[in-house]
Amino acid sequence: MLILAADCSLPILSVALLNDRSLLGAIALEGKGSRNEKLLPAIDWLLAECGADRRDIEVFASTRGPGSFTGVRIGLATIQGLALALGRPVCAMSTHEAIALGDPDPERIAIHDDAGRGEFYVSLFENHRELTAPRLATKEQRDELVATASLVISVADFLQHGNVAASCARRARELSESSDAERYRDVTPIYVRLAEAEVKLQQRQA
Amino acid sequence: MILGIETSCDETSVALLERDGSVRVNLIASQIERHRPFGGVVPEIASREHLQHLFPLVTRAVADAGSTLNDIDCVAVTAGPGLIGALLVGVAGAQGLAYGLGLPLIAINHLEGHIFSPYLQKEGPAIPRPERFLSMVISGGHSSIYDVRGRDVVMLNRTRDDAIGETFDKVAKFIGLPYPGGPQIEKHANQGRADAKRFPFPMPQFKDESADFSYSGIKAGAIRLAREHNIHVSGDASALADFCATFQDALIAQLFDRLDVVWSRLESPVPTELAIAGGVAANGTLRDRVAQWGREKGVLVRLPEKKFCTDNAAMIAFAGLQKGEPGDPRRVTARSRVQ
Repeated sequence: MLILAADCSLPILSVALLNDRSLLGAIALEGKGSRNEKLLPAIDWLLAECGADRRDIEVFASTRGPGSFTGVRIGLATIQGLALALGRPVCAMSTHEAIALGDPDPERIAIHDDAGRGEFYVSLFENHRELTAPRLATKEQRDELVATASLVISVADFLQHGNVAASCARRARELSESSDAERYRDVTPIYVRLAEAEVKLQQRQA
Repeated sequence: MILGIETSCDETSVALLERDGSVRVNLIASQIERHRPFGGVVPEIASREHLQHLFPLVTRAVADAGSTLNDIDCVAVTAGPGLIGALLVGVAGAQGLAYGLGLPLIAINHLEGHIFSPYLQKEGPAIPRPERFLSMVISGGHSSIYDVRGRDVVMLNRTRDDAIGETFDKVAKFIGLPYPGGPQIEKHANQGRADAKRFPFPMPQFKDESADFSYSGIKAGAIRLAREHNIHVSGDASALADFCATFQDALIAQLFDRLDVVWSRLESPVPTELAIAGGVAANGTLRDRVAQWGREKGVLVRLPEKKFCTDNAAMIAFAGLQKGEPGDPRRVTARSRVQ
């Protein structure tokens, strides 16, 4: 089974091509600027260098945040476009889930990421399932949440040695065999935060 | 068929056109209600809504046309100008679709979409457009007159500050009318009578005799007059109606003042057609007056179908047909500003 995965939610953009259990190739590159100018060229290059045809891809996997709002949308829009055009399913998951569950590990895992403004995105995973979906936390709340986990991963650290898209592809492969696959067709971005204007409107109305 | 995608502002739109310009499907998911509580378009909310609606619309458009994605032979997408986050949803989606289908992707300047829109018909092939025509684009983002020759578009004037549609919207908001304000002002104006003595609006003139538009003076004047005369949706209805009629008159009068200047400066042979485009082209008073102007000047006036006045993907696909240079989906960029 050939799986193409992309992550555009984080500062490093990544794309990976997985054939069953073997990674055919993965790209990670600085994602600042317009990620759409890098994503499709990266996918095209990866396919060409791996000698793969886009029509042979059976699952299009993508992360759906939390992370850069615009980046999440670019990744999801491109992946949905490809999947619709080629008549293949999408497998979309939280960015934290890709990082936590891309490798088989039954432990309780906590994923945390700097959300700016002194806040953090945190998720928990246990027995290879999401326990707590990405949520916003203060530093104290984060510390409390991650204290329960046997493995704590910071997204920023992971980006330095791991490839998020490759993890996303491995998780998508695992999901393709599970009864959960249908649930992962949901392509709604995980923003966690409301748009700034909505926060202000709520404050005015409160 | 050509697939058009438009997500530059607050309408998600997807259209399918035949090569002859026949509009097979033109779907628009408007976000007006979503932005209403904020009194204007919120870029982040617009971008979120676009992604939510884009692919369901593509799927529905293909189904409504009774075709399949394989009947599409080209994709056209608005690449700018517009809200960058909003544009990127359409562009990235179009990139994925075009690359997946193995098709060319044409990046369209939103303005070119408007410029050619008066030649689209509700049914049947597009009206053959002349090699040369004069175009006036009047919307929430633009107020400009262009000399269009073939594929070349030469700007003859522009607004130095606010766009005409923006002026409609901002003043409407000030007097308590819901967003978008243009149609609301028109509705009230139809109930009133213009009274320039009571509500005097300036006709801006520039020292350099430029034909440029300027709407910030009218906007400031309108807000001052509304304050002085207690004009508000919650106040005296007839005063509100008269104010709206006078304000609308002042906005439209400037269009014709500048159009006359531009027209008088054109070297002969002058264009034989004037094509009006953009959201303000839906204004009934404007439509009547421009038709009158055309009769006086002996110029054929083309007004867009009302559904092609505001942002729509049919005009983007149509602009793609005018362009005809196939592009590479890997090389499309979105730009909030386009020169």
